[in-house]
Amino acid sequence: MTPTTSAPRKPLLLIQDLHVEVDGKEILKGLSLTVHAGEVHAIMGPNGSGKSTLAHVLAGRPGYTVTKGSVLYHGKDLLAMEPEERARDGVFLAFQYPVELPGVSNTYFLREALNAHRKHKGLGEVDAVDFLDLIKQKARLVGMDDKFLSRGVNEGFSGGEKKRNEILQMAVLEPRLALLDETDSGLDIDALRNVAEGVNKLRSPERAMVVVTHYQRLLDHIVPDRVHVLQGGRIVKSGGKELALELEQSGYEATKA
Amino acid sequence: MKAVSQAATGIAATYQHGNWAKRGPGFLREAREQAIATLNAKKPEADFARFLPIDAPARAVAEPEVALYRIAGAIELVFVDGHHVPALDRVKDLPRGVTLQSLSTALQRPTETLEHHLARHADADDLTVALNTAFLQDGAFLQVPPHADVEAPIHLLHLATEPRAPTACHVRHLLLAGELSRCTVIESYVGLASPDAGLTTTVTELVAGPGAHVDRVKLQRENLHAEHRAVLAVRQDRDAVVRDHLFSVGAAASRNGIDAILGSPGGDLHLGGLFLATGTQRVECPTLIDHAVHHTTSRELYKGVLDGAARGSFIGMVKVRADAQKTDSGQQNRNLLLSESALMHSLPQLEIHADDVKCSHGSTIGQLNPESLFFLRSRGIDPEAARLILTRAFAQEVIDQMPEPVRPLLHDLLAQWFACRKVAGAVA
Repeated sequence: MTPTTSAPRKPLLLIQDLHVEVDGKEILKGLSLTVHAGEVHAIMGPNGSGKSTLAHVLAGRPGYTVTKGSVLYHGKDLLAMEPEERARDGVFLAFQYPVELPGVSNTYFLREALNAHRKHKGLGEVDAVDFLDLIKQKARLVGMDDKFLSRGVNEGFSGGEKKRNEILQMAVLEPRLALLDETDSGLDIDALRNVAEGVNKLRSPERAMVVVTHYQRLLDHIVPDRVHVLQGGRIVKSGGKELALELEQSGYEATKA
Repeated sequence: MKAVSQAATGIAATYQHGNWAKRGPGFLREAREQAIATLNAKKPEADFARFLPIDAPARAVAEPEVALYRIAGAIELVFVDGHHVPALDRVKDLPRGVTLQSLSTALQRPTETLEHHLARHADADDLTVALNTAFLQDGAFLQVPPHADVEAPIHLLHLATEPRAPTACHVRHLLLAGELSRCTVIESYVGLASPDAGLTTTVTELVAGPGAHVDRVKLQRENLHAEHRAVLAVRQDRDAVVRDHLFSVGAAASRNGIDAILGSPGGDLHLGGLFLATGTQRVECPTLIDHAVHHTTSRELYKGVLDGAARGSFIGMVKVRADAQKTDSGQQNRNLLLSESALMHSLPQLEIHADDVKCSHGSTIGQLNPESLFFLRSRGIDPEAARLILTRAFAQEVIDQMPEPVRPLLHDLLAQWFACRKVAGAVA
């Protein structure tokens, strides 16, 4: 055979038969998922189906035990890596409930984070002045007011500001794989539109996104390439963006069978 | 050798042997006699007798060693092993009218003012005060005249060297701030690398005249073999504002006590403290704020960070006497434990005898939030760097309340402590 046609693309993320326990209780029960660079995948499902568990286990949160299965991230064993190694290698989790860090300024924190990434890549540290230019430009990109940059991380931020701050971090760190965990939760329609706009600006052919959500509404703004229904710890149905609409009309019950 | 009387053992023998009863002017001799009587009566558990006061610095200290501990722009008096070393001073910017001299010099020709204040304010019944008074040799005597505004901080730098036998340094400071004057006094206690244990006691008597503003900073950074016992006695006249700030990283065992009396209306007192301890260090911070009259204000914020098997204690007493109506007092003690085996005792105490007052207190002991740690790691930051970021954020509030000239130094010392905290003996 001659290699005239392009070789099949290697997946950026390949999850096979993943089983995960939390406090001795099995939450994910054989989940498989393949994500390629440039794609946006939506994971939908009822409360307690394991959506957030999937996002957290991929980011390396302590307290989750993988009992079976594998996760390959551009061919590497993701589960063998520490959370900070995953982050520096391009995995980013936008938290459903971002933590507040009083006394740690947003700018200082983001510079520390960016410099940790740069060090990993063998690049020099960004100095404070250059970083200020960079972060102001990124703040404009995601529609965040400069005044939030000097405040403590999420200190006294509204729900919408916190979520936007997560997207700002994503804009600065430029991940290859972004996991958005219920980024729409707690947002009114204006805040949702704003945050979604920020996310859309960060879509690129090199970057994949996995968007975890309970509601179809987010997917009106961040239009996915693939939609998966997660139920009882495994993906029970996959389809194109029209699947989200179908779910909106018939509910998750219809996917049971 | 002169025979020591049979009855004298321990600390009394040290006292007799050094002929302390005959040292200094009459009023000081009386104070010494009272102090040694107190020590004899108290029979301290700790063996203070093994620490021998010495009559001169154990060795010469040269400028390069001192330079590390100087504070830029400060007026400085330098002490080595409890003794003033004039050659190391930096006093050329001392404003006219301000008296700043060593206590040993002042005691050679004691003024009425000196006699009126020295050893008159600190609680003579206190063990540390008694030890310090019985063996009082040197320290600083500062007298700021009324209306004087001393802009440059006054730095009283004490260096303990490498004595061959366990030595005791008893450092005494008397700070008198005149009516409506303003000054900042920084006391540093530094241990130059030492293989041997030494004891430093320090007693500072601070008297703030009507409407005076005094900031006092104490930087305690002796080595991990040292013992440190200190008392600050604060006496405030009408409308005087005193702000005290403690930063402590040093010593195997340290005790930084404060005894403050708000004895005139309008007095305003702030006590801030940050202590960092690791290994087997012991840190004690007993503070007493006595609201003795009406319309006085106090704020206290002490924070502790403990790692390893360090032990810390904060015993904060706020007394509000029956006549002290309209007292406004707030006390906070917050502690961060970085290891499983560190231990903190926090005892905020309120004793209120008046009925029209505003008093609050609070105390917390906690660990770094695992959610915050995971968040920082999920952004690519190493766990140890993440712990430093969160520890710094915890300490920031106290450092921010300190006078501007010491803040950069404290940030450096905090980072240095954090980096070295797992290596015994590498701190300070």
